[in-house]
Amino acid sequence: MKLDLEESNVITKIENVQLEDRSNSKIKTAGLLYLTISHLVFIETNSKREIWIYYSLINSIEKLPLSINGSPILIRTKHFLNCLFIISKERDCQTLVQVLNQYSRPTKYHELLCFRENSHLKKLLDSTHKNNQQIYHLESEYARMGLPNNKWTMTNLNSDYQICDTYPNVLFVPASVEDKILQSSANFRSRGRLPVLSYLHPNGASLTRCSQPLSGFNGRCDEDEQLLQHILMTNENSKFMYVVDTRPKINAMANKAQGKGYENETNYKNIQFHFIGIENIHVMRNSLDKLVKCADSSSNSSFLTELEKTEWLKHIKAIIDTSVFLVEAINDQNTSVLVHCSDGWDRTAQTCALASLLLDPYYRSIHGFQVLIEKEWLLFGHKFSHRCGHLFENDKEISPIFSQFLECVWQLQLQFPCAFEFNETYLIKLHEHVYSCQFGTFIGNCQKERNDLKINELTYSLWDYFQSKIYDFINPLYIPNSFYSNSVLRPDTRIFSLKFWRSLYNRFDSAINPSEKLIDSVSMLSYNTSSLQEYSKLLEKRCAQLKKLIQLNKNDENVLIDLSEDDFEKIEISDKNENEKKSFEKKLTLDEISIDFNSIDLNWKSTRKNCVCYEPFDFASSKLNCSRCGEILCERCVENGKYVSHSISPHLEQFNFELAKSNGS
Amino acid sequence: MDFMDLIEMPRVDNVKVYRQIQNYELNQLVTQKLFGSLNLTSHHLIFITQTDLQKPREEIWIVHSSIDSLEKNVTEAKFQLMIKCKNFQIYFVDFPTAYCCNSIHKSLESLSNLTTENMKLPFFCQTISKINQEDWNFYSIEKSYKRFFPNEDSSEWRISEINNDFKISPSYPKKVIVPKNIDDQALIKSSQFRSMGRFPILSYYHKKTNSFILRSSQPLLGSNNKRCKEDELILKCALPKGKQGYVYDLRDASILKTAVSKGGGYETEVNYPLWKRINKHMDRFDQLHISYSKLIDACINSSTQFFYKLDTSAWFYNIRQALYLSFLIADEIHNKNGCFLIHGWDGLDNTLLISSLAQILLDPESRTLDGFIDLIEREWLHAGHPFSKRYFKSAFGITPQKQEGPVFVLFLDCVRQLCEQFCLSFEFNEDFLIMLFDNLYTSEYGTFLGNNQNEREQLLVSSRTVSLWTYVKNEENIKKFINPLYKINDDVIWPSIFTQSLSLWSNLFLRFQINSKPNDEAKKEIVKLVETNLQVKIKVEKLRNELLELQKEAIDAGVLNSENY
Repeated sequence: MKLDLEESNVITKIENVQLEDRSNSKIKTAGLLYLTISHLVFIETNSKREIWIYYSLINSIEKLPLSINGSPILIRTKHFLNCLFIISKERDCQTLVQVLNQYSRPTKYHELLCFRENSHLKKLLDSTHKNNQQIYHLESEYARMGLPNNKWTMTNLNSDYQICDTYPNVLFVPASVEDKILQSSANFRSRGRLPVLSYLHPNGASLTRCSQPLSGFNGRCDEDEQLLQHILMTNENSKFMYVVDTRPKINAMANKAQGKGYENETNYKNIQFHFIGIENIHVMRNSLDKLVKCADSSSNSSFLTELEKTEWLKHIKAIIDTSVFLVEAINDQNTSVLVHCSDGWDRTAQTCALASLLLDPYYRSIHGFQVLIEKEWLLFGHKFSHRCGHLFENDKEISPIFSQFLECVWQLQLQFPCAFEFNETYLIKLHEHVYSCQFGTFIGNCQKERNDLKINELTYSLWDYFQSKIYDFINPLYIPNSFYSNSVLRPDTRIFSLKFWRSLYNRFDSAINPSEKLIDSVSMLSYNTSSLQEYSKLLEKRCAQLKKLIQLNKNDENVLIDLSEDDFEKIEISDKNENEKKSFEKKLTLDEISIDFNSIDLNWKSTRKNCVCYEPFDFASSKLNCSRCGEILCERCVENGKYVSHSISPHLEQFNFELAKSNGS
Repeated sequence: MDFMDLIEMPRVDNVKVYRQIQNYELNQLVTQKLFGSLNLTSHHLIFITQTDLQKPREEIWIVHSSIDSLEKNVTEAKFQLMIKCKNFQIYFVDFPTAYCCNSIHKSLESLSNLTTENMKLPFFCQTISKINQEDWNFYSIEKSYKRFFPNEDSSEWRISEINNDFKISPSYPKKVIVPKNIDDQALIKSSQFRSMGRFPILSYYHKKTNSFILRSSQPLLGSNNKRCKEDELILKCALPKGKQGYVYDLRDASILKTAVSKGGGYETEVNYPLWKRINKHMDRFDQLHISYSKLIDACINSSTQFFYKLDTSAWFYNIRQALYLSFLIADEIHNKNGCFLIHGWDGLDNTLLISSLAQILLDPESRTLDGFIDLIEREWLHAGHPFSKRYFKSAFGITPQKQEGPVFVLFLDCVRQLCEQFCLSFEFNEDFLIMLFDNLYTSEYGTFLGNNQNEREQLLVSSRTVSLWTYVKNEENIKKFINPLYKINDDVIWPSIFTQSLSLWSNLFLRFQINSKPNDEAKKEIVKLVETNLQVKIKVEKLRNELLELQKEAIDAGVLNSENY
């Protein structure tokens, strides 16, 4: 997000800085560096191009060996922007590193951006949307699945987070089960994360989730075993259920030695136990590091071999494969599944969320997808702050678990282009803001922690922000009632069907991304159509008005003309005819007609490298056409209304409205 | 020879055919097993399923020339033939007896390897009435000349008919564009100094900067360092003042010595002082064939190390290299002062690839459907790319002569990469490129028959077969090949050539393995959106006109204040 420098608090300014071009190290552009309290801003001297980097997005600051031009500093961000600045004075370089270290490594939640005054967001969000985040109640989502019913009920056992502090305060469990069974089961599960309902399929099969049992080598818990039986019994269509441990078997075995482990098939009646090997957070972190290096060396001719070595797509495949297993069990075999990993907040969240998305078309709408993230990730305690490194804490807790989920969704979008209401940009922006700390939504590690931090009161919600920019996120190819958007999605997980996510990992490398982006021009086309439809209504109205005016003039007084075909107003001509005519004339002047006439450009521009303000567009940049001149404007021009001669089409408001309506249903 | 001599058993009953088909519901490949009879005709292998009350009768038609390789697997219990087609489809056929299996195998081996052009499909399957001479004469050098030089008088170039009887250079067309100041005698001399008589001719003229691309074959220096004054003169005369000439030799510098020792060579700086020689390696057609085979193997047996296999196939290396070299040429021509002579060995393969790709970058015309067909005619068919030899076998097979090499397939893939990066700037779509690929290997149309114009004239293709462009231009067909989002882009396009920017051509190389339905749905939706947009624009135009008329009427009637007008 870019602001106005005048509005930002500038701490210091560094002159004589060069930015090295990403695709050609020989090309360097000169400019100025500004350090504000929240951003690092680079402004190119010649082109006035600006690069804004949130401190919270900075991943690493690396001082490279001194060169003849000065001291090079490489800054890498969590959303894969890499900038190599060459600073002529060594002292400036030290200042830079010092400021960055000071500001980019918060140690307390309240130092995070989202808790600070933000006039920009205030302007943007306060007027229109407020506290939308309150609408995500777990109950309403379960009500959508038809719950509570005679099989499943809501329990308040965790209302004060007394059983499990990383679970939500409302849980759905089999109706037949007693509280003390739940209590004992929680005691037998790692961190109290007992089996609870994640998703209920209309056929009665359920998807439940938990953490590993504290079974050690031969521990067992009668109540836990009973709970599973109760879960099994909720589904009349199957005589058994699956218990899926998403870890590789060897990892689960190792956990046994620490008093944890997995369910013993002989102790639990009618369960089928499965190991599915998704690797742990450390393996995923290392794999991403390799992937980033691989994407970074853009001149790398053996890119594909390097990509193979990162094993990244192998991990993505494992996650999708597991989700497909869950889908087949639930949808095709009518069989319930209980999923866990170690603590049940990483791999379990990934696979339960993805399986739900494959099963239920609702989660492929913008609103439904947000509900899914709220439920499976935020409320069930995926440790966002630990995994994303929001605070400067333990590196070993950081892992791209949620990013992998977003990538899985992206792979699905690629395979089913008409099945999702939201587009790729939505995922890329979501990825960015999970790390950016600008919004409270992803701060903290569980619901309890967010309540303690008063996130709802003190911060803006990312969902509200997204809602204000919804036009950026609509997939123009979404066909709501087609086969693929209405049914279970069955992705192809053969390795050749999985792709490298270039527009995320090379998002800011304009030399790598295609010059003409298909989906952007299709979006433009569909907005152009709806704008022109509105416009044609206006023209029709004007024509009708003129016709009436001419008609009025022609006809003698006292003649009653039935104008009922005009839907906008009905005029009875009477003695007051003259007055009427006058007021009508006043209403409609030539000026007005010509303004209306020119209020829209028929052929909008479909691609541009820069905004009219010379701001270059990156791959996920927000772009909107001015309906009057057809030019493409960047986010800031749209937001600030800086260029008053442009008009962002009026249809957008109506568009928002329509969207809200469809979400409500 | 008669076809019937090659067919021993025209029909075999009780045959099982296995093929993989897509189950759209499950989005999975499943093996389909069909039971029926096999019929062998002069050009087709036709499998007809047994009549069954439950299932409708199914037919599979396989053109003999579409068969790339045959593998016989006869054991005591099984008599199986594996048929691999040039379009990557694979069939397994189980025969009731070893005898049938052997007999059909023998027949198919001969029928699918017929080298006599006269016996090929296009001569048999079309009615004369469909033949449209206009489509055969789609390309004319006069038209190109006019396009390059709208003002003939001031042009420094002329059309020469020196090769009218294909004697000077059998692989060149009858007419070529050469520098005006060079007479035909000099051309003859030069042709004697160039491999296969392919003397330097004009390939493309960039009007915006007055720079150009010439192409030829290698000069025949030989070990006694021959030189040809006339050849040197052509290059000297061609180059206007203020321009820098570059000889783009598509061979690695290290190989030039070998070339010289075999009687070939290169343009020495002493003899061609105005021209700077640059050596850039491109894999030759035979190496490219190996790359292609590895690529298809990776796609078909992709379970492990897929990306590694893709990488080692070097197919992407070849795409990158081709796009990179054409990029460099386009950059010199458009932004600097460079003029080019391109050649490799004989100037039949990579030369044409690079020169035509550079034109697609530089020339908006070549990105239209007609312009692209014109480019294929001019830079491939009339330029003497040996289609018959290069595409006799596809990724699974090769003839003992080893003349195969999918240079044109690489060209199509490069164009597709460009279409993907510039999705608005091409008038034709991916389906058009895939259609070209299919007709390249086996076709009902005569366009890709023979190895050059000379051969095509001898075969009388234009009076005996239908042109592929007749099929393309058919009203129903042409719709399938148009990119609905196309907008004229008058600029030069600058492609990205990082490996990340390139993609595997899944709709071609994985065509029998992936489910294309969801993507087809998206394509249809785009067509629909474009159509709706067009309709509303027409409506708005109509309303605007109506409003203007009403406005006029109102002003005339004095009911609308026109002071401000």
